[in-house]
Amino acid sequence: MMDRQDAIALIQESLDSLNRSGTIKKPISVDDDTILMGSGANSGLDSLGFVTFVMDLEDRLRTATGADYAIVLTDIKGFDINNPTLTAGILAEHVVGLAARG
Amino acid sequence: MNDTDESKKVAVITGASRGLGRALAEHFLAKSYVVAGCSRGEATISHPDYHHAAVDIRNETAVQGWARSLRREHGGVDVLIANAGLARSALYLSVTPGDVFDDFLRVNFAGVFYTLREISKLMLGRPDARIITISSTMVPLHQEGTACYSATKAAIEEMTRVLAKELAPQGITCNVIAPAMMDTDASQELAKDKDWKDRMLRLQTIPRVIAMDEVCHVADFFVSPLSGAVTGQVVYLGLAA
Repeated sequence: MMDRQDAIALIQESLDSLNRSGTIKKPISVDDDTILMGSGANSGLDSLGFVTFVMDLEDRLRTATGADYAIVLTDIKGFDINNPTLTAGILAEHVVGLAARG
Repeated sequence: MNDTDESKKVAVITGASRGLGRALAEHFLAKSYVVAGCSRGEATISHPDYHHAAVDIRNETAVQGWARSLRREHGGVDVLIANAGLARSALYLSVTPGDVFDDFLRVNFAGVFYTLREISKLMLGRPDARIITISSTMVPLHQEGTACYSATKAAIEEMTRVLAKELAPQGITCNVIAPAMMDTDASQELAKDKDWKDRMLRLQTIPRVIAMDEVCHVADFFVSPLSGAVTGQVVYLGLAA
């Protein structure tokens, strides 16, 4: 069973990997308030970097759970398409929900 | 799991079971690509490097699912040709039923949008990746009776130009091939009306049917590693637009 800390760890692993591949210039330490996308973003991800991050996270989620998941922004509770800001905490909550639904 | 021979490039072609899509698929197979094609029906190509999926591109979830399976099976994509589209008999706008308009929107516009969005994600990080969309010379001709069809094709041209800018930092080029009349199932249906075919050919600068090989030749040009600076372009075949 995946919990919030597991989800944050997956996000951290993914961002570390994107840093190693050069998609993100500087390493980042993830916590709930890390802004992955939108106003005040401090993840170092540009829009295409964000797409790469989501795909990488989906891959890690599949490896961790053995099931296929699609992370769709508009499905994320607390994400407003008209004011798009996504924190690691909100995404982690969504990932936990996805994994729980199986 | 990645089932693809990594020495081979992967081309994804929609509408690959007939017409131009099938010709393009066979062309890229002959160039030693692995080709992943889709159509609403079954495969019509039998080749060890051809992988078919029955996908209705109007269905967003189906396109997403196909993209996920492509990622698992091939890892990434080098060439996308968003070919699937709808061509129907021409009616003046004032008598065009709403469901015909909806069909054009769903196949020619929404379907291509879903395809571009999902497959382009699989091209990030692939050097020399190429996207080609298909339009028509009906766009610059502004021909009566093609309001819905031409509007969707014009939208594809604009979408491709914008995508060209968005993906340029990744080294991915996006271009459009817009042939005049071709010998496809759709055009043969329309050409049962001999007057229609003659009238359409007279509108063209080169007044003959465009061969599949001529379209493949332009695709080769766009796909060439030497075409890395060619992006956001529309090549009209048969028409001086």
